[in-house]
Amino acid sequence: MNRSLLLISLVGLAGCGGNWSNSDLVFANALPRTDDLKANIPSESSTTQPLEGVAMRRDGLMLGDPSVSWNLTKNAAKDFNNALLMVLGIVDQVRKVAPTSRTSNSRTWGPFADSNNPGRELQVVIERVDEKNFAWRVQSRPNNGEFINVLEGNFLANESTTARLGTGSIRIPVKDFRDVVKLDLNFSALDEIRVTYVTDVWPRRVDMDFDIKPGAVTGLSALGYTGMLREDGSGSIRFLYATTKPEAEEVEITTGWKPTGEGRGFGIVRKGTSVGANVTECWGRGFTISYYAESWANGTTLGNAGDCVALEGF
Amino acid sequence: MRHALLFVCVLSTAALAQSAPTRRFGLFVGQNEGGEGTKTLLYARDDARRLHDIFQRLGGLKSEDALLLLDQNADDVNNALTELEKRINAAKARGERTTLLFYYSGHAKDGSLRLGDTKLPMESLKARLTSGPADMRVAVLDACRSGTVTRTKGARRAPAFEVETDATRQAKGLVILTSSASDEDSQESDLIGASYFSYHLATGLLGSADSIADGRVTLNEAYAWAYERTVASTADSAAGPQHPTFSFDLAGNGDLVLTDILKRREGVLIPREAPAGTYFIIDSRGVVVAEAVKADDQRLIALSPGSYVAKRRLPDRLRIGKVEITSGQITTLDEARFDNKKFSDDPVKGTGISATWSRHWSLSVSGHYQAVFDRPTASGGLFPSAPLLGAEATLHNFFGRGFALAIDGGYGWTSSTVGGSLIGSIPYDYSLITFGASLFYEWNQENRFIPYAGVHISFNIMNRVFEDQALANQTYSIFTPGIAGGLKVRISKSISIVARARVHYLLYNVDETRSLGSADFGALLDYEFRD
Repeated sequence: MNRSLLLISLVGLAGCGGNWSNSDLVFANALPRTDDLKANIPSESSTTQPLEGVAMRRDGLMLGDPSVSWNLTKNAAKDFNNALLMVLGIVDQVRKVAPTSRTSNSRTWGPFADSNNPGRELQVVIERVDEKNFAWRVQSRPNNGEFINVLEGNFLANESTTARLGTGSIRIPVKDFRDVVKLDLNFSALDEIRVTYVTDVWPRRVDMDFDIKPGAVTGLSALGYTGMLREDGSGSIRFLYATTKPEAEEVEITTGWKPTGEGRGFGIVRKGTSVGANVTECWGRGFTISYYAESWANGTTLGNAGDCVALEGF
Repeated sequence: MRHALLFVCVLSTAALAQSAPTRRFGLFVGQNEGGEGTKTLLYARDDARRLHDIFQRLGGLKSEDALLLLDQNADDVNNALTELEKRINAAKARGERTTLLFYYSGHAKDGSLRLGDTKLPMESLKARLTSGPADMRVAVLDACRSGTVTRTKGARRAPAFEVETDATRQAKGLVILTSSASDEDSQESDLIGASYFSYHLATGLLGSADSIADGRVTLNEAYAWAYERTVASTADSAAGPQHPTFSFDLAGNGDLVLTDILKRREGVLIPREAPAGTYFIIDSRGVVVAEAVKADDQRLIALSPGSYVAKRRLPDRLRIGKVEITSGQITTLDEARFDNKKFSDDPVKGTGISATWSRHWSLSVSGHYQAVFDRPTASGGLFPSAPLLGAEATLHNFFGRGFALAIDGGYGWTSSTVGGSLIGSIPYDYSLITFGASLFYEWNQENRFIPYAGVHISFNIMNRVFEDQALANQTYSIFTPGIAGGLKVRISKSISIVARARVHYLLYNVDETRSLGSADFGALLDYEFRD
């Protein structure tokens, strides 16, 4: 009888407790989310963009052709979002599980076995620096070895009725761990990734910069991105990419769009013999060219600039 | 007839003449509990109440001279006797003749009256009554083996059954009536809601025992009636027949009139022309409160105002009629207007207390609301308040009469938000599963309204799923001890509605250690599986 009571008591006590924590939500709130930072461009599903092949059969650019700027925007947004996913993928996964341990000013997830790096472990630690300041890091170590930071971040939360508003930064010092942690090829070609974001004021803004390892070739389409989202749903993305052409070694392209689809793009040579040369292209709701203008002498101009949608920042 | 002659002798000595004014004093003691080694009685208190009432209504006992002690201990009884003895001495000092009536219904064991956990030795009680100041002392002991007291020295035991004489000389001394012999148990019955002896004594005092139909019931008549009916009632019982005893130590003669059934002129009259036989008077509960054997003479039963049913039992059917007794009125029974009924329509239902107090199960379904003693979760509180549906199985009278053990389970749910200055407002769906057990005591199970109170412990499993699927679900499980109380209201023999409240302690220990609590208010529909 006494043994039965003891057993029942032990079972009962073992069942007590849990992960019910309002503070966990505050800590989880400090971790950035891919969904919050990614570029959201208009969907083409409800629009009537002509098949790109139709335009290709024509000689020269014509009004009504598929917008080149829009296609650049789509690719840039895709790369931007992929880069974010690469950076924040592990954070997104960790947030979905309860912390492994808690102190009054920290939460720790892990260490977990790193499935991509057998023999290594990962952990995520968030520390509350003060009431609104959080510092977090993703760390890797050989099993039972010393941890090194593979991802570092900070977040300054803003008091609000909406979750996850504030300013934050992320840094991935790739070159510090490239030799010990097995990485994606795109990661390996980088020395460092820096992301800063602002989500508590309009426009929401994410800046992403890549330091490419000297001599390395990366699949990334740009050296950096700036994505912005405005309160009315319009957005923009600016990206910088390098070419091998001497007249345009570095080109900065900024595209913007309305939530209804229409938008405009502006490309300018930032480095090269044609520094300052630029192209403006506008597209309508069907993502076809409504205006096109080259800035240099004898450059092509199609359509009326007044047909371009007005966008803040352009 | 031999018994009758002997009783004549007794009462020729014991009878009390009615010529001098007599002041009566009474102490009526009812104690259901007899302490260790005894089972709780069901009707001892009711017996005392009934005799207390009858003697006040019909027995010339003033209310200020009639003490009623229910569930009191031996000291209380001794103190009450002391008080009455003072009053008796005062009355005697005023030249009044005095009579003390002492009635006890309860347990007796090993030579003592058992008053809860206390004992009152019968010998010391008897000695006190023997030497008491009242001119006449009449003790009625309705208890198991109470006949022990009549076997001992100091009183002569009379034969079991006698017939009075017309003695007139005032008597002084002690008379003791007991409900059973020294080796017999005294029995109770649910059909009459009383012990057999006290019931028959009471119904005799109401008029059934008035053998010469003179409107007065004497000690002799009451005893003769109670003896005969008690033996008859218990003859076929499992415990065997129960034989009341009578003893006396008296000087003088004359009979003692116990009740005057004409005094209040209210009750039911069975007229001379009514068919002979036994008439049972049944109250609104379905309990027999009086019975009268009608021969050639009319019979008056002095009942309190109220609605009754009269019953005659014939070989092949019942004869049933309604009787309304109003204050100060004697209602004449008109047997010719009775209805014929099948035996299955017998209005005698009994108290049902035995079934009620037997060990039995009940099942309940419940709807309740659990309010957590904390801030709203939207303002940073931890747990939301929520409605629950539940079920409960209860084993009544598990640890003894009134004590019940129950197990319960419930499921609750709600939608809420958790809020804070840095997280905004995060919606979530909350669910709560509870498994609990309770131990409680139910009072007055035989009544329609049954209050209860006890302790309850619950194992709560709480879960919240955030609308934002990027956040981990949260769970918390904990034992929550508490107290519970409620009121059960019977709406039929087996079905009850219960209003219940519980208060629990809720310990939270994840982020920090906090002592919280919850209050649970609910309603249950309860079905009891009783015979």
